[in-house]
Amino acid sequence: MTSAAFAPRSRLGFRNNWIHANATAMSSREVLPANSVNSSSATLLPSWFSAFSNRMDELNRVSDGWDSYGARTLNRDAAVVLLRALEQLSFAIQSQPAVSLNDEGGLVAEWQTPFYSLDLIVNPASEICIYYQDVAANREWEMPISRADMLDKWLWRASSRV
Amino acid sequence: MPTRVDSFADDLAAVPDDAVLYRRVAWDRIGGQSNYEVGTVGRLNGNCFTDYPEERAREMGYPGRCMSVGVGPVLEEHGFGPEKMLENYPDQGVAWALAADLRKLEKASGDPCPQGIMLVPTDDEPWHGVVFDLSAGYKSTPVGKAIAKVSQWAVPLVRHE
Repeated sequence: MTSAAFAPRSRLGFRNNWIHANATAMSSREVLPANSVNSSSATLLPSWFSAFSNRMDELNRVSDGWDSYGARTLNRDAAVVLLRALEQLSFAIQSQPAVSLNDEGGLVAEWQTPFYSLDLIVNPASEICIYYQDVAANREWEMPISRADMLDKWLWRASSRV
Repeated sequence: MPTRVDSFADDLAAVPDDAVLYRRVAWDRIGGQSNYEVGTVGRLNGNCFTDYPEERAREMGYPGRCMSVGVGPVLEEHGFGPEKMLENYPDQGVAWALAADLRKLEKASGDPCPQGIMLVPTDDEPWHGVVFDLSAGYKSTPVGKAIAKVSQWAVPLVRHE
C-alpha cells in the first residue's frame, strides 16, 4: 500500500500536533477495543507516539551508507506512510514499536512478546507488508496489509505488555 | 568494488560448513539505542540479515540479490578476528552464524529456505563473502528471521549512557 493507496482507508489525517496521551489506548486490557479511534478524536493518541516521534527524528538524521553496506537514508514517503498507519491502527497498539531502517530507506516497526511478533514493513513505493508469527504454534504469515484481515487482533497481541 | 560474479555457486571448499560467518550490525537495524535500557545488549532481528536491493546488487557486480558477510577462516588466515570487521565502523556490532546453519536453514514454519555461500574477495576485504537464497532468490522476512534465530553476537552492541 503506497501513501496514496493508504489514504482511502485512513480514518485519521496526518497532523503535527498529535502527541496527546489516550488512557484507553494505553491500557493493557486483554480485550481488543470494539471501536477504533475515529476522526473526531484524532488528537488523542497514545503516549508512545512521543517516543516514536523522537525515534523518527533520530532516523531522519542518518546518512547514506549508515549500515556500512550501502543502505539508503530514510525515505520521507515511507515515514509518512508508517506514521499514518500507526495513527490509524493506534486503537489496537498497546506499546511502542521498535523502529528500524532497512536497506531501501524503508522502515520496519516491530513488536515482540514471548508468544507473538509482528512487523510492519514500509518500503518506498510499495504496499505495507505485514509479518506475523505465533511462536507457540510455529506459524508465521507474510502478506500485504490489504490482505491482513486479522491485523487488528495480531497487533493487539504482539504489542501487549506481558 | 568486489570481483564481478557471473553466477552464484555455493562453495563448500572455500566456505566449509564449520566456517563462522560475520555480519556487521548497526543500531538502527535493531530499533536504535533509545529502544534499550542502559547496560542491555541489543537484540538481533531479521532486519540485520537482508539482501542488497536488486538494483544495487547488480550495480555491485552480483547476478542477483545477496547479503555480504565476512568469512571467518579467511579472516583468521590473515591473523584477524571479528573485531577486524569493525575497523572503520566502531559504532557497530558483529553477529555470527555457522555456514552449516545457513545451508540447512528453515523458516519458523519448518519450510526449508537453504542459503548458498561463496567467497567474493575485495581489495580491502579478502575475507568478504556473500550469502544468497537458493530457493526464492531473495531473503523474505521469514528467512531473515530464521537467520537471526541461528545467529549470535560476536561483538555485541551494548547500550551505553
